[in-house]
Parts: sequence; structure tokens; C-alpha cells
Amino acid sequence: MDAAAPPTGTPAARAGAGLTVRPLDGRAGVRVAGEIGLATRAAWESLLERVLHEGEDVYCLELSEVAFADVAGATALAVAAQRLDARRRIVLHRPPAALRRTLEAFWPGLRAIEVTT
Amino acid sequence: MTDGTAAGPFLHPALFYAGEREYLAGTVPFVREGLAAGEPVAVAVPGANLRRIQEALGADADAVTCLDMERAGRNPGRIIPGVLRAFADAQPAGRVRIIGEPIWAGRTALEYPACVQHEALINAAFRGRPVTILCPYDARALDEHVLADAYATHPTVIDAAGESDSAEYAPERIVARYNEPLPPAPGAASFAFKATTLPDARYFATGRAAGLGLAGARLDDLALVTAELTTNSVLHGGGTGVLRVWREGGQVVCEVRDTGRLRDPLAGRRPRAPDRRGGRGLLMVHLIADLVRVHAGGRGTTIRCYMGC
Repeated sequence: MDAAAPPTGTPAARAGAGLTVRPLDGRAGVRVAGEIGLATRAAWESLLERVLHEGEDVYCLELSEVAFADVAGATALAVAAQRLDARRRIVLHRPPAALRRTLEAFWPGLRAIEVTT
Repeated sequence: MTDGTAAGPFLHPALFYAGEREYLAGTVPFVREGLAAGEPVAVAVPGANLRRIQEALGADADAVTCLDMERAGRNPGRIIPGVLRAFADAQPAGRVRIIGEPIWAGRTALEYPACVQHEALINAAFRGRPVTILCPYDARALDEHVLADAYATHPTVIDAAGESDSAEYAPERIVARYNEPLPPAPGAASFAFKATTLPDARYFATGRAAGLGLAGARLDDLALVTAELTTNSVLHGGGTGVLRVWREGGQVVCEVRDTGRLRDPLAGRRPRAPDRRGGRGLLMVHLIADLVRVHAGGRGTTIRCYMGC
């Protein structure tokens, strides 16, 4: 987010109540929209469980429509990524700033997560 | 160096120095003894003092992890997890040596309670571990009460006369005495939140902070700080709370007040193993804020985060 972060009550703020997940065309992965926080923690963690069981070598989480992820959301992702076997990784496309910040603070250089912009 | 068994494995002396010569006489041999014994050594002191030590060490400085405490330890609550344990935990078994100077003459009255609580909490954070943390105090520049507090936060003190036990050592008393109430800031914008309005609380904080001059990555950091504090209130602090945002000098302040009781003074100061869930919210707050002040009261908890604009 930057200085243009929407104020309370705008549609973007209210979108935080939920998390929508749609499959990506032509590659293994999903497009996630909404925000990753207390209200959506269970949905986010169950998505990550599904990713673990997909078995794809490279799995993409398209996160450009995710407004925010809290520390617990980043933790769930990092802990899940550490359970991947050595040939597998998760690609995060355009993750929110908070998610990058938390991953850099606690899991710098985590092999199983790749960030693209 | 002895194995420290007489005094317990954790050693935490204060070094009172008057002038550069005493500073170097108290720190440089400490570093060299550690290096000679094969111990990992870190020096985390204010920039000007760091350069003095590095210059005196010459080529030996290359074997030492050097950190500018004015940056790495600007928020005193960051020092245990982000500086001291970050270094000590990364070393193989055996004694580790650190020079940590968290209190200098430029520390403000706002920062000082967090500084002295940090010094007190080091004792609990490292109890039982084979670590030596030497804390220099500028006896000429620091106030009398700061030097008096150092006798309460350090079991031993070193001055020109040598090393002696501190009869005043009582770190828990310091943690309690500086657990000062934080009265509401007059005129601050406030937002009462609950579980279903956590995103709204965050947008409220970033919207206000942007209007007060916070921008760019610091605004993203404020979003994270707000989310972690408000989520903690919902999960552990009675389910609701009040968020306030205002500007103080060159900083935006974000405060969360709830009715929970924070009983663990080391909360947010323990690093977590990478594969462990939970326990990183307050830790992240300490790592990214410029200053965190906490009041843990009998009827509620107030946490105030200062973010430089």
C-alpha cells in the first residue's frame, strides 16, 4: 500500500472480509483476492494445505489482488513451504508489501519460496 | 576467560567509563580475550564508539561482528531478539561474547524507560546461557539516575577501581518501576475495533498516518504494526480495543489499548524457530517500530509504537 490506501468503508476495505480463490489459466496455481488476516486465516491455511498436496514442482500464487497479509498469514505460508520436498517451490507473484516484509524478516532466503513482480 | 560457573553461566557486567581511554581499556581487551579463546564476538555500540573500537582492534576487527546500535537498537525492544539473540543463537556451542551499549547520552526521556527495561530483561532472556554481555555506560555524559539504574540491571559493575558485585541488583524492580502508565494523547483520532473491523482499523491507521506525513515503506510497516496489535487484542486482549493515531514531533504514533493483561515481560522479544507457528506478531512490531512503549496494567494493556516520518 502507499499513500493512496483507501479509507475506511471503501469497497477495497470491505473486500478484506473475504478471500476469493480462482484457478490460473494454463499453469498450476491460483489467483487470490481479498486480504489475509484473522477473518480469512482458515481459508488461507486450507488453501496452503491444498497446495502441499498438489504435487506440482512449481505452484504459483498470484497475489496482486491481495491487499494485505498479516504475520500469521506469512507464517502459515513459510511453514508450509518448509514442508515441500526439495524439487518443489511456491512462486508468489506480486505479493503485498507486508507479506514480503515478514518473509524477509523471519525467513530470508527460504529456498522454497520465490517472489516475482 | 573462566567458564563463569561461579557466577552462573550468564555474565552481564556494566562498564562505567569516563573518556575514550577508559572506554577502550574496558572494551578492547574484552574483545581480544574472546578472540584468543576462540569465542564468537559481537560489538553493538553507537557508531562513533564502534569506530573507536574498530580502529583500536586493527585487523582483529575483521573477526568481530560489528553493529551500529543507534540503528540496530534504535528501538530498545528490538535488541534482545534482533541483535543479541540473533548473534548468540547463530553460534556453535560454547561461550559467546557481546558488547552491547543500548543507552547513550542522546536517548530521550521517551526512550529511556524502554531502554532500562531492556537492560533488566536481558538477565531473564539469557539466564543459564554461556554468554557474556558487557554494557558500557558513559559515566560523564549520562544522568545520575541512569547510572544508579545500571546497578539494578547488572549483577556486576566494572569501573576504574575494578569489578565488583552490585548490591543494588534487582532487575524485576526496574521492569516494574518503569512500567509507566501511558495517558491518552489529547486530540488523537481514535477507532474502537473488534474482530469484524480489523481491516477497517488498519485502513483507519494508514489513512490517518498518511495525512500526518508517513509515507512509502513506513506506511506499509504501520499497516503491519496496526494489524498485529489489533489482532492480538482480539485474540488475547479481551476481544476489542481502541486504536489511536497521532503525530509527535517527527514521528507518527500508533497506540492500541485493550483490557487484556500482558503478564510476560519478554513477550515479543523471543526469536522463533523457522518451522514454528505463532508467536511472531509482537516480535515483528518490535523489529520494525522505531520505539515501542508498553504499559502492562492490572486492568488493561497499552502498546504505543513510534514510526519516524
